[in-house]
Amino acid sequence: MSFIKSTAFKYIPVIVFAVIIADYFFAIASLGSVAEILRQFAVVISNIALGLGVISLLRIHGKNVQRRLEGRWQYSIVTVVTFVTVFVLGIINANGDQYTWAFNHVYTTLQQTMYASTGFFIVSSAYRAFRARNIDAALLLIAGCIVVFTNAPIGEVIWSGFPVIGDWLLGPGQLPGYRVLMLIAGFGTIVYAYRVITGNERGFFGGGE
Amino acid sequence: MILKEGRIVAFVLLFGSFVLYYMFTKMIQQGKAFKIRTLAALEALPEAVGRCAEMGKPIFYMPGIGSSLSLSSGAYILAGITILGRLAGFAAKAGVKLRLFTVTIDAMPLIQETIKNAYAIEGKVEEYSDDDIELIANQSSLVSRYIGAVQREQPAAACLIGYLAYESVVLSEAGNIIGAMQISGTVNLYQIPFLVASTDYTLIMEELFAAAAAVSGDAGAVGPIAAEDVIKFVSLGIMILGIVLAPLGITFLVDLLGL
Amino acid sequence: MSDQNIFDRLDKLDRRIYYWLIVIVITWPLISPIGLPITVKPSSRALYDGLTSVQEGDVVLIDIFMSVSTWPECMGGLVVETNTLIDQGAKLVYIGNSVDVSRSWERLKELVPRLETLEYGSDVVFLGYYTGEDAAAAQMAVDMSSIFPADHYGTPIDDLPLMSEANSATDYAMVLFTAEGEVKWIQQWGEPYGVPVAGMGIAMKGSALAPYLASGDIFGLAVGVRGAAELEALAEMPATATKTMDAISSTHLLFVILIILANLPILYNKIKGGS
Repeated sequence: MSFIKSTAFKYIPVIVFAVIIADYFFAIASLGSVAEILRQFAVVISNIALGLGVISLLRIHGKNVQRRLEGRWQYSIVTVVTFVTVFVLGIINANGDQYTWAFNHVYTTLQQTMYASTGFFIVSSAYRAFRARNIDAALLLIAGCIVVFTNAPIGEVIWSGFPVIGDWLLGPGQLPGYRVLMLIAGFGTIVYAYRVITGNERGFFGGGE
Repeated sequence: MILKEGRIVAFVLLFGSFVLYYMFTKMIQQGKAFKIRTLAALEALPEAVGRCAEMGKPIFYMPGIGSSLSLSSGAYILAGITILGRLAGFAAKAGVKLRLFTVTIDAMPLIQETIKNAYAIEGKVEEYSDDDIELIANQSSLVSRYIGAVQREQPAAACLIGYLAYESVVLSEAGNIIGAMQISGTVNLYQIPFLVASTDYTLIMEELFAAAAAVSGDAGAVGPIAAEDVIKFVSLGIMILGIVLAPLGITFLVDLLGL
Repeated sequence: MSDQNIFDRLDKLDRRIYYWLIVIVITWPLISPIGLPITVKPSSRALYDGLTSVQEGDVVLIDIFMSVSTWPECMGGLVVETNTLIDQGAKLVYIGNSVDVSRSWERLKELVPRLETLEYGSDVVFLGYYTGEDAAAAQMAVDMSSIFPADHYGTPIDDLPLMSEANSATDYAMVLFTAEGEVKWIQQWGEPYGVPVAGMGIAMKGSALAPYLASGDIFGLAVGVRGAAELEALAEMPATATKTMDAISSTHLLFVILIILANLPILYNKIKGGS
């Protein structure tokens, strides 16, 4: 394994990177088909990660149940049983009534509930954080309120100027800052790519030197 | 023309960046020191652990969602795990329980190894337990599990560092409700305002990578960060030149960059 | 405790009070709508104009990235897009990067019964879930069948006449993203192949998507419930998004009132000259 880690893993990212980058920049016909194969590999690996996720999940929660881990094993049972039930239903017939029922009436409801809770936490956070303790905070507060009223039809009813100022804030007002942040994110991604191809980024195959 | 149209300058800039990264890495290896500026969030890690030690409470860590193999989230999750290593070292030294919640299944071996190594370096490998690392099925489940854990275990501090999506609002507010000290960091642009408003310290955008580089300390991590300063200055210069030339109707810069 | 004035109480207002207020102000307009007018933003109008410029027979790729949790924000807009494109005689290919995309597809069919009247395989195809993000999008631009050897129902792609005429990026008139995933379409379809890209984003992503709109990387954008309501207004198909706007108005108004209340203690202390 250490030979694979030290040699093969070191050169695979370099080769893949070279082919994909060359395909992007250079008009070389034969490179296109090789790049295609590599892209398909990437998609297959993503799909394998789903299966890996399932195995890891079952293993870890199964261990929790086996060891009766305090405060958690009951929920692990629920996780495993739910997983197995929905999995079996999906295998039998992914378009069947039972599977669809589980999706519609359990998964959908729970997902929407958790996402909806975000609204409460945003208001709670805003009530605590949107305080005009200094001039910067006051400006942030005023801008925030204007944008809030821009998004809601009642804003235009209260004052016709809200959408005008709000659209400016969402457009030319924040674009320069946002573009800078996007540029920086791009630089960061390039650095990451460099670290991967030079073998400095070992996180994705388990760490270690 | 072997280079595709419209990609010549991009090619030059990309490989020019790589050359710069290589040069700066070599300079560090040859002894030149580049100091990453003090990052308040990173400096706050021992303070967070100290708070937990005083109060006898655990510290929570969430390295973000997504997959470490993904282009959009992988780099940030791995950066979060690098910082986790330092936090784990502080926690091991202070005898503070470190609880980790993650949905990143493919990074689990790395997370376990990172924390175990940190404990081993402090000579406390027997205090490490896999049970303190919780793997949760998905994002929404993570939210409900984390909120419940925060309410029951009442951590004195929490770190949300990695690739964060809508859960950043919920998790940070859950920590605020119990008065926990919170350190966050993400590259996800539209989550940064929430984190800045809700947490005590935030690593914004590239600071996350810089923090990971500062923690790892190796030339391959610090060199590119230092080289990026040069790239940023060059970018700034191009922008200023563009701002000057555009009103004059001179388009050579736009045409040049479009080659 | 007894010498706490109203400003001290406002400063530490129990969050359960405003949680309950939120529940009331969201529920009331849904039960008893107010019907405030909605002004359409230029970005939503540009998106709608793009949809109505599609010619009969053009193939449009629609990426349903939203999960069931973002239905309230994006499903309304997706319904309008689908109805408009059907009116234009376009052919539709649906894919999705979210694990519950099949659920979103079923829901879309419930809300757009006309989808069932189209000939499946020739006028509309649902290819289903894909993973791989940028790599998948880049590969789809070259050869869709390598990512989707069959559709969601297991029908081989060679048996779908629509897919034989729409196998690469250049065969498509436009790509529409839903909720997220815009970057990969811009980078892998828009920039290299010039395929027009547009779509809808969740409200949180509005600021993040604005730079792409400003630079022309996307030609139109509808953001959040408001964007979906604007599309419904343009298409003259008022539905759930339009009904929700009143709840949005009342909640936003409450939000601003709460923020004003939260700042009263600070103002009071400043006037008093205290800390």
